[in-house]
Amino acid sequence: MIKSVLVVDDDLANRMLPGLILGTEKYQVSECADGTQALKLLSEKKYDYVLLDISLPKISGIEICKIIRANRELLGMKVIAYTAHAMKAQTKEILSSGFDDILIKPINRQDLMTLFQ
Amino acid sequence: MIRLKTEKTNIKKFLFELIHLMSQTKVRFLMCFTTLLLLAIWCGAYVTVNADQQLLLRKGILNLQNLTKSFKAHTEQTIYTSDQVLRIIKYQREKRSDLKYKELKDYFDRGVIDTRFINQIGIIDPLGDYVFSNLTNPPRVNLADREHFKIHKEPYPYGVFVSKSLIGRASKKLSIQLTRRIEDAQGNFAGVTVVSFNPNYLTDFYKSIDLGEKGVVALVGLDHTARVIQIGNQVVNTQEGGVVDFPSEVKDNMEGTFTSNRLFDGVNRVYAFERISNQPLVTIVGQPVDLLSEDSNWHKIIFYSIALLITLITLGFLITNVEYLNRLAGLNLDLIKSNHEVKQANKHKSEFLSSISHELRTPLNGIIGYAEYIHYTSKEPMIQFPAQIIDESSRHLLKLVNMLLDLTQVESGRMVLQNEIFNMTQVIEDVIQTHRSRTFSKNLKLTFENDEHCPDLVCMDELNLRRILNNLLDNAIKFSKQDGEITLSIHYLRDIDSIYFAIKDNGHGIPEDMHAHVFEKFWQNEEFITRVHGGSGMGLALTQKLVTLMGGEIKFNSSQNVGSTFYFTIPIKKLD
Repeated sequence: MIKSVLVVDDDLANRMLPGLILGTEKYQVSECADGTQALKLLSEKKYDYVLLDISLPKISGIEICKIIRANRELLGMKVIAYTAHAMKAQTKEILSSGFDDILIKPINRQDLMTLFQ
Repeated sequence: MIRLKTEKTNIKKFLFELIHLMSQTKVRFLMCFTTLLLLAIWCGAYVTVNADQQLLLRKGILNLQNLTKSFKAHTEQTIYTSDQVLRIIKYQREKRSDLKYKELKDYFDRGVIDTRFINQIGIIDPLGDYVFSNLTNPPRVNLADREHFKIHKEPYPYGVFVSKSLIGRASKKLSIQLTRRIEDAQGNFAGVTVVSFNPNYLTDFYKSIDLGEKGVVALVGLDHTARVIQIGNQVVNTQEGGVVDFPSEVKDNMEGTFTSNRLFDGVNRVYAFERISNQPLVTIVGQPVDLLSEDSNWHKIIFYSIALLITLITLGFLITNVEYLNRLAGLNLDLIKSNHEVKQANKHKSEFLSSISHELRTPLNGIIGYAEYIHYTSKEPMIQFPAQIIDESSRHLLKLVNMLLDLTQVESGRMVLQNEIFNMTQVIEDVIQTHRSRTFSKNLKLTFENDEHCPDLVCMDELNLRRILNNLLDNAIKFSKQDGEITLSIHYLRDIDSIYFAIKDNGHGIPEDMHAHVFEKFWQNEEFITRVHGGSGMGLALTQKLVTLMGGEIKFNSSQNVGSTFYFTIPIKKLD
């Protein structure tokens, strides 16, 4: 069964990377560059996974996550922080604001695969 | 700090500094303490002075009372003695109305009647004529207008009348006259017998006692008319009136004390009084209030001087040290300020560090991610190989970035330990596993020697333990020779509830003279590290700091070309 993934990141390279690694066989990966687009896409369709960058223009990843968590129709989605914020205090704060997991940049194939299994 | 550069006077400067000082907590405390101390000293001085004054006043009054008692006794004695003379003459006269002085002369000559203190002894006939006298040439005078003559026309209830101090018409001397009524056989008024003596006789006694210039000894009638008044050394002539305005309690009591400025000359005195028995008379002895408290005034001056001295010394200390206190307060303020600045700088540093970390990681994600992707997906060796190089290089760069950030965090004290329970064997095997691939190129034998006494689950900072092991294994692999052996062993140290780790290699080793610098930051053994092996010079510095942070200790043995053993302990934490 093909799983749907939404990657939200304002950096093109970082946005494309998870899709490349995951490939098209098992995953259908969509991308967008900011919170507004992400929320628009999410209002149209429910994804299995959402990879959210934290430092995004306009709406931060943490705020998007909170909006997702507050939406009943989006229940059951896995929201994963996809961030370069690696300091302990920051990861703690991220995890405490509703994310299921955290992927710290730079990511490697192994970490991503482990997370999606 | 308030610092006036153009103070015109020192006082102004001092006041400003004082005001400034007041605003400092420590100094405020000091000021409060000083103020309280001075207040206590002055209160103490005031209370002591007051108590002293009361005590001296009581003593003075007691003294006055005793003087009054003896004055009273003396007066009573004098009146009694004089009355004896009056009684004798009265008796003789009543027996024979034509009694002449010479008939009584024998009494005086033989000392039956003592005339030493007597000015004059005489008889006044019912018409007021002075008819009988012990004086050599008695004047012919009529005394019908004298008070005593008028009083004795009627029987006088007290028997003897004591006159005011006056100039005797017969004796021409300042006298006090004691008189008795003479009666005929039918009890009618038949004249007056009189004895007069110098009022000084009554008061002379007190001249030997220093009552001071304003001391008063007085004999006063209950009708307020003065009999004898001596102020200082001077006996006052009381012939002309002389009303003594003593308070009513003198009439109501046989003895007592009072304070008044309405008697005699308006001087405020403390008086003691005693009533004369069988006479409407009262003896009064008084001393100025000022004089009574004269000693206490001295005491007052001494006490207040001491208090003043202490105050001056204290203030002097404050004034001379105001500069120092100011500096102290300023220092305090500076400390608070610099503490705030340090905190602010620390915060900025923290923010800077996390921002640097974020900014470095973001591009590394692209580099590592895509290099790895190409490395895994490309079938072309000429593409795959460079991709692998990029991948490995960028991972190395990431490691350096991480290490630098960790080192900075530990050094600035921002590294907070996250103690949690984990399976140590599993973590160690996990760490070894990540290094295994790097052992292949040198054909190294990497083994793990476990200790069966080691607890399965331990509590410590897992991430930091991984960092330490990673660094040491990195080094061991880096400095190993071809076909070398690396052993990671652990032991449980029961007595200090710690795990002992040892990482042993049989590689190049560290030259003896470099041992002292191994844990120094950015130190590199030029021969071995920079040229042959490369390295940041951060790994061991960070490792040592992490071990220390976790409460442990790290040491090493190393011989050139034999190998190195790095060993360290980490205490197992109690999970709270």
